Amino acid sequence: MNVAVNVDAREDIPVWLAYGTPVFTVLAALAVSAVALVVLDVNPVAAYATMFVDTLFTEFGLTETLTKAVPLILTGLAVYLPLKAGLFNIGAEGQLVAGALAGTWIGLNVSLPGLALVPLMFVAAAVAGGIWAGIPAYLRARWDVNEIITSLLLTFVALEIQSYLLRGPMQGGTGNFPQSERFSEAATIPELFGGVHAGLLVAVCMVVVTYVLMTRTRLGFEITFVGSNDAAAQQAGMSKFYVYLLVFVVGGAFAAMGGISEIAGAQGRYRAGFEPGYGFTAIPIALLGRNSAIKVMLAGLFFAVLFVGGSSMEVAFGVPAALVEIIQALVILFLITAEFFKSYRVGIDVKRGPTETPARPQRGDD
Amino acid sequence: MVSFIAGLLDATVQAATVLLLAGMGELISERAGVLNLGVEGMMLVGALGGFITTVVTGSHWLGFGVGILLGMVLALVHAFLCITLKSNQVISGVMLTLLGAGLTTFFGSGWVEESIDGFPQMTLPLVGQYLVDIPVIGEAFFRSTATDYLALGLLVVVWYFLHHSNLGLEMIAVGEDPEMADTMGVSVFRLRYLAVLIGGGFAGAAGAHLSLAFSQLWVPGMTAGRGWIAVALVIFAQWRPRRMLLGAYLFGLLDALRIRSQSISLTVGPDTPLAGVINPVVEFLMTPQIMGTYPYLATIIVLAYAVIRTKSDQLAVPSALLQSYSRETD
Amino acid sequence: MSGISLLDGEYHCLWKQLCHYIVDTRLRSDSMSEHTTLRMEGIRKEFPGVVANDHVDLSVQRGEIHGLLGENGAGKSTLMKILYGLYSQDDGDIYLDGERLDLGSPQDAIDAGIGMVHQHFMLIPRLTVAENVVLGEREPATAFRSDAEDSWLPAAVRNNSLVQSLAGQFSLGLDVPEQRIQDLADQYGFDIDVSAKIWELDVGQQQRVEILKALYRDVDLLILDEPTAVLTPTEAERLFESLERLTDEGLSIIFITHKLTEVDAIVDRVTVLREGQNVGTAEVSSVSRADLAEMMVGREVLFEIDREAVDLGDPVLRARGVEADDDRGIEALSGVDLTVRQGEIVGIAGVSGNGQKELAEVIAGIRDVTAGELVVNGEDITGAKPKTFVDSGVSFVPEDRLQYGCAEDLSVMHNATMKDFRNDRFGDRPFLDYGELQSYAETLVEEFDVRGVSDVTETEAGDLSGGNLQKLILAREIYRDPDLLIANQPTRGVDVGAIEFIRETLLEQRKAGTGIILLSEDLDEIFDLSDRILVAYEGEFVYETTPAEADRERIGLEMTGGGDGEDETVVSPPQSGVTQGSES
Repeated sequence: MNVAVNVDAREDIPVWLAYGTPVFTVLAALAVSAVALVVLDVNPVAAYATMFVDTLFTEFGLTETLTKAVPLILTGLAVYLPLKAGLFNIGAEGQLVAGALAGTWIGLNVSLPGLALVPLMFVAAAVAGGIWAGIPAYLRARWDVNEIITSLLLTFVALEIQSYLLRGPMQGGTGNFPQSERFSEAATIPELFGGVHAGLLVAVCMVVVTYVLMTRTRLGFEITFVGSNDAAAQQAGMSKFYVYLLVFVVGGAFAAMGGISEIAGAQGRYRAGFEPGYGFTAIPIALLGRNSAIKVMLAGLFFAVLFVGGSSMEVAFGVPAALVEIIQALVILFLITAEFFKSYRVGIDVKRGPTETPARPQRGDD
Repeated sequence: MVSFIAGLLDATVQAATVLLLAGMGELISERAGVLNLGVEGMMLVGALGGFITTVVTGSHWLGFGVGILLGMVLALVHAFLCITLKSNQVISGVMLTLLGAGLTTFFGSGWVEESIDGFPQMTLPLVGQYLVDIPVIGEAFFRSTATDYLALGLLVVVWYFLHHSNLGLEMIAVGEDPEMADTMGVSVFRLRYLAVLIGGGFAGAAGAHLSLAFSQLWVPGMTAGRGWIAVALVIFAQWRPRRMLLGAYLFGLLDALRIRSQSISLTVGPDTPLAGVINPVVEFLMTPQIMGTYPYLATIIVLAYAVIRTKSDQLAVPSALLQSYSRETD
Repeated sequence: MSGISLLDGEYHCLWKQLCHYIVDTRLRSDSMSEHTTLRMEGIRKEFPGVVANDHVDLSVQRGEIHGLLGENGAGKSTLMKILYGLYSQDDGDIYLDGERLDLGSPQDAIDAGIGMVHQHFMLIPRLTVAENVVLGEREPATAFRSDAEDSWLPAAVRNNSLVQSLAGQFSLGLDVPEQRIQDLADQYGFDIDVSAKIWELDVGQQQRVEILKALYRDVDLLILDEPTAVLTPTEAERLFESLERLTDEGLSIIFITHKLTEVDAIVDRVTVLREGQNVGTAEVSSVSRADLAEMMVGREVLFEIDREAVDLGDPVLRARGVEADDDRGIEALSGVDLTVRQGEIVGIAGVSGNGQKELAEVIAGIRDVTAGELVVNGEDITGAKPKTFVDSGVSFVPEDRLQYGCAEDLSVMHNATMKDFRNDRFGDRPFLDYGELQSYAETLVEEFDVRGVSDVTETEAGDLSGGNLQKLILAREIYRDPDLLIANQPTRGVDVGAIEFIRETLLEQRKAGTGIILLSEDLDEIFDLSDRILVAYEGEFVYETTPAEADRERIGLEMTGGGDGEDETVVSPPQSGVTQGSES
């Protein structure tokens, strides 16, 4: 008996596969994570109910979700935009921190009325994040130094600097903890509605800006083209250098704004570890929303639901919120597995009898 | 002063072992052409798995073995995704780190209170008792845990394997030009799978060493970024095993210095010219967190320098790194 | 090539018979010879849309250097890849020393004693010569070798298969192999240090390492694929010397080439392929270069294409003294002068690999020149960015569609507008009216008969067939009404219907006043379309003529380096105002 696995390239992608994939992967991830819950003696159905139902159907859950969504959406965009140009921004976390630090510094040290101060904080953050992202971008654009490694390493540099500042020059409060002073009224982002701060507005605006950029401007066309074939793009007169720099710097600015909005809007002071690695969570978000800024926003909202749900689940069942990380990781792992099945059809043949001669190679002529 | 240096060296050696173990595995994986950004996650599962096993069975060697195994399990997923399914290596690796972190935090929170009898400090058989007495460096280098010695021994094995065995040669070939290797009858798939699994095993070992020898406890997230430093280390060492040893000790030294930096003062006397400028600057550069950035900055600089200055066909980077391979006949 | 008119078909048939007759009388009957080592019989290989090998017979004698001559696309590469186990033939058999071979992989070929030296070397720069050569052979440490005489391991242990397997994997003994490689190198006059790293060697030496890879594995038949493409004349000389020595030792060699000078220099017998068929085999000593050129390149064909007289305008391009390197850093253009006028089609004939690709890229602005100047429409844009070239009215249809010509994952619309999306017609800066882009793309698709496009925004460029993609690219480049158009192999890999369309489009554009540079390996095409013909060989123009005056055999000769050494510098084009005559 002889079992052969045949892998053939697909001609086109069946519609159900193309649209269903995100849904399937989420369901699969939830199903597998349910196993982890069972191991800890928790009823998965009850746990998921708390996670989703409580989050989406209570006022508290909704406001928390929308609040959490702000940095998630912004960092998601920070990874999304470079991805369109074919680059990986793994350093969104560092850009977020850089922005948060810069914005906080302005917020605590500059005296201006809130109407001027808050925007200034955002600008400062954006500049800081842009610079932090600009370094790996320039190295890549000019000398082809791999941006994955450089942006990643700079993240850790940023985290150390954060740690230094919060125990040193920027330390505030009682002086015992790595945190800054409380923000004044002026430096706090005003409330938008029902407990959700105006950072949401910024996030949505940035989504719209990105969406318009990619779908309605010349720059967006260029970014898309460079991301698909940079040699052809350059032949056509487009500038890979400029595009690479732009997408990273803007991405860094987005992540940075996500950072400062979380601090000045939701938390009120800068605490070390104020966010559970949104910059890394941004990667799955951008991958889920790969095709459109709107989808990135939806993915961001979904992940916010997961985060908030995870916390309430932890409270209700004593189960560590780290389950959320497991779910997120599984979603993407299933997603990239599904990518394979989108492009190839796999069949299994079981033959009885002597081994068949291998199929003749069919290569196109050069 | 002497005891300070001895203590510093001791800490250096201990820190270096973790980096060395994780780094060696990553080196092999990358030389075969597969980037593994899941090292941190594999280290965590190795740490937790090893810890739990030791608590339950009382045997730290068994725990060490389980740690290696668990690292390999996670690596198998990475290998399957990247080699068979030809998925993006970056995404797969980062997500496996996330998964490893999530899994270990999730399952490990119940084990934080436990304590174990981990690997004891020991001297080498026979000669050890004499070597330990060597002033200054004796205690540091020659009284360590079994896993510390193992790491050094494995480094020699890895160096030999890579550069003086046919499998090693084939692995290097597969990481440089898989098509060429394929034409010469070398199995690209098999070798890449092997390399990735070895990488995962080493990462698991590094994690197990962390929980069973280095700190002898378990805390969620205890790897504290060492996995990422290991990735940086491989680049810093320009993919050469011997330089990795140097780099691991250098990074380990930086780590040890960082912890002790508060007790050193490298200030110059107030009468020295420019003291007003030098002292604050030096103090700044010696703050623990700033020192924490040095391994990362050093790696970025080394990488950038290497890429900018080297002719493209002499770059130390394995030429086929990050590239999936398939014969067009697939 | 397209055989459109029936007249042509008949001529082809007759001509082939004539050729075979001429050649057969000079042929030594080989099927009965006991010196025959390789016999390929009735080989047929088909790819979608093209028959690469059409019942090809080939026979090679032991100890000879057998040339395989033909243009690109003639089927030589395919035939050899079949012989080397990379492809499987659809029909036909291969016999080596009387034994029928079943070659499923390169390993099978090596085991049978057939080795191949690829045109693009398969070497790892970082490793040494010895390491590259022994890769895959699993040579164990010296002590474990079964042929080790003074090993401390007893022979019984050494010869145990498990021990051999383990030693082969976990050890590596280079001493004995290095010595053997060095001996082989010395034997054949290769000047190589076996412990040198590949990147330290020059191209000629690297090629020798490729040969050593085969020799080390005891091949009897060696295939060399256009080996001199990467060598300087001196290096080529030395290669030939080595090849002579190899055959003296009994090795048989198949030498693929398109250069007649080489055939003269080194080859004993030569087989000519054209359009997938074996046109004939001959002793080199008994045919002339002219005969061979004719066989390679085919009979002159009279097309019924209407080429009207067109007034020439001002020069759109003046290129002077242009020098440029190829991707490897080797000089590809060694001083090219070229002037193209409005309404003129300059055809550049030549076999691929003589600098045409680099010339096209230089004029399109995507490759830097190392010397010389480029003046487009009176403006010196030497060294400018590609965008400047695009904005100066230069259009480019590249040889490699997928590399430079399009983004295959993007839609037809994206690709149709990739050069013009910055145009004012598509919206006010910075915005882009995708609706306009879409209708522009639809117009192009409509007017240029691009088929297979269900929706310009949905269909991806990579989904189009070769011909339709090329039409799309051409459409894009032409619709912007360029002043200068560079078309590099515009009809290669394109179906017959599309070929006609493309050629007529080029002629129309010529009428509209565009200056066109046409690079093509298809001589018929050059003849039909060009006002002037230049022949490129080894980075320069070696001959210039017009279709009216042209002697097809002469061109074939020049293309293959068989010119009689006359240094034909480019003749300056006729003064403006003089019209080109039409062809009947």
